[in-house]
Amino acid sequence: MSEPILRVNNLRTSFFTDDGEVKAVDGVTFDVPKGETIGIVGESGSGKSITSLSILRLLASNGKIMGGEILFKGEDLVKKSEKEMRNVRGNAISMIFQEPMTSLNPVFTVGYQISEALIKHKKMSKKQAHARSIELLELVGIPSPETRVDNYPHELSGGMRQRVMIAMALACDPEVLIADEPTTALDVTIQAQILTLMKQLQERIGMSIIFITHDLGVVAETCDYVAVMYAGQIVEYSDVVSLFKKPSHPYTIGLLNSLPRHDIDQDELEPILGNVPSVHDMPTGCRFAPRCPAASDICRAKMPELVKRENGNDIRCWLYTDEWDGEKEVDLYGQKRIAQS
Amino acid sequence: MSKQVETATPAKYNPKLEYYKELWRQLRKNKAAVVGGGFIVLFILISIIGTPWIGPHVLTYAPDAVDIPNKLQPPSADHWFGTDNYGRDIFTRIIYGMKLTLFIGFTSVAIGGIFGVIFGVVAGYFGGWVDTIIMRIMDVLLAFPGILLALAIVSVLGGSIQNMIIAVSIYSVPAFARIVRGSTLSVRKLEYIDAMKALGASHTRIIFKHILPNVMSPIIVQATMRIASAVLTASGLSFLGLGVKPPTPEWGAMMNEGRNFMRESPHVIMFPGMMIVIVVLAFNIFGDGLRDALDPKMKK
Repeated sequence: MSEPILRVNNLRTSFFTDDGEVKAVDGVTFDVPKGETIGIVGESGSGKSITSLSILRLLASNGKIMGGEILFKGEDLVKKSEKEMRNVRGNAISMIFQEPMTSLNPVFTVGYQISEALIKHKKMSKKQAHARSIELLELVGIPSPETRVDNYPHELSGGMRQRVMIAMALACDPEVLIADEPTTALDVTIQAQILTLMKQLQERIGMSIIFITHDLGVVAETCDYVAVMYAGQIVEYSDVVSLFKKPSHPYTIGLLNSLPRHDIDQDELEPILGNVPSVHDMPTGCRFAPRCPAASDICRAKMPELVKRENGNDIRCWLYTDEWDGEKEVDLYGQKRIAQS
Repeated sequence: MSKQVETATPAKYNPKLEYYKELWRQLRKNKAAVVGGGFIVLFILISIIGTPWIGPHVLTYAPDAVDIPNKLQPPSADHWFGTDNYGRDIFTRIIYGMKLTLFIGFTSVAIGGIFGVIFGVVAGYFGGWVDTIIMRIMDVLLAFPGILLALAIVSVLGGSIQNMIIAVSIYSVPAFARIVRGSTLSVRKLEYIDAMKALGASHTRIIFKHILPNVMSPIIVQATMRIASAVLTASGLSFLGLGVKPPTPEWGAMMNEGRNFMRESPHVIMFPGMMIVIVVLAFNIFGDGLRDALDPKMKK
């Protein structure tokens, strides 16, 4: 792993609602290596989007970073003032969103919207910014960019708009790009195009990408490292090959097992039983314990730590620690795992 | 694909212009709106005639020319709308009163609108206690019936055109604030606002560049309708003797003066009253048509 450009260290983000504090992100730690892609996967409500919004400090007004640090090139973003953050956003770190249909302002041309970041961060003149917008549109593969630059968002298709969003995010040559489910709202062929485009651009510009998704197929396609999140915590962090070859955490195994496969004949998909625990009623022990087929007493009593294993992957599970008190060999969704001790 | 798009799009295709063309088409379809709009154009022309530079050359009488022997004359070929208790020509006075009415209507709505829009967009955008404080103040203002509120303000400040405009402006603020707050709340949740924040845009920039243009339609409609009620309130204040003072040819003040003679000479109050009705009606109808044309859901 190359030198990390962004380190998220024990990040804790809470929302304050009428029902009290909701810990949406609870002690998340990961590194973003320079020039590589890290995927954050998890179900809805697992805290993956909140993690990314915390990095840019774009939380809703009732959200607050309660602790931890976000080190970007050695500087802690949590401690920066709002004004300093505005110079980071869209400049050194930028973000693309899930919904290309609503992510562009309908009353301005796409060229105007791309120019905006250039004028603000790069201090370009309107004319320069316009010319650069055309270049950027060409870079993201939009045909006849000279005419498209003066189009309004409603004149473009969903895939084109997502390309425009990418052009906007790349306008100031960011070092980190956060992509929050950038392909979820697109159909499959367009998805593939956008993913390929992002890969190409990454190689060209050398930026790091944080890829947030719930689609494991997309992860396999694009990411170098993967963090699997469950109920506000990272439960497994590893490189993409070992995650798919030999997942360790029961939740990861369950997730992979619930995907349809084309190499074997399947009549039914096997989902993970149960639901994500309610934020107001988190289990005291491991958060996955109520749904875990192998959960033992210690799982229900104590929260496991995220521990580095000998193969370099981080796992949050008692099964792989000396304190494991259950069966020596457990069956997780049809896969055998041997306890550590 | 690009080739097709290029051939399908004429070289000088301008979406903004297309939008206004479409708006015009929609507006033209609504007969009542066309009539209302026509009347508004007519009002503006009348106001121009009623200026001291053009008036004396076009009109036979001066608005303040007293002619006691011919007082309270019914409408005739000489005096189209008759004369009042000082023998002044009512038609001339109505023409001269037009610009005052429009001036009060437009300025008070402009001032009230600007403040109302700012309050509304700030309340809707920031939410929380800012929203609570602003909107509770607006609620207090709304709790008073309009004319009563304006009456209270004018009686504190004293009666003059300027103070009347202030009063009517204050009375227009909450209506704008509420409508803009509502629209802002829905626009604020859209993803492009987040996208703009992620690009490093400041709050001021987001509010003025990205939210305001998207809540413009309801503001325009509201402004048109508000002109009608501003005209009504202003005339009402003058009628009660708290706004424009005689001998200025203001319609409300003219009705107040003519009130004592309405049994023998109803025309003295009838014509100014009729004009107020026509102006209010024209702006309301036009506002209705504008709303239909600006609302994409109404398009067939």
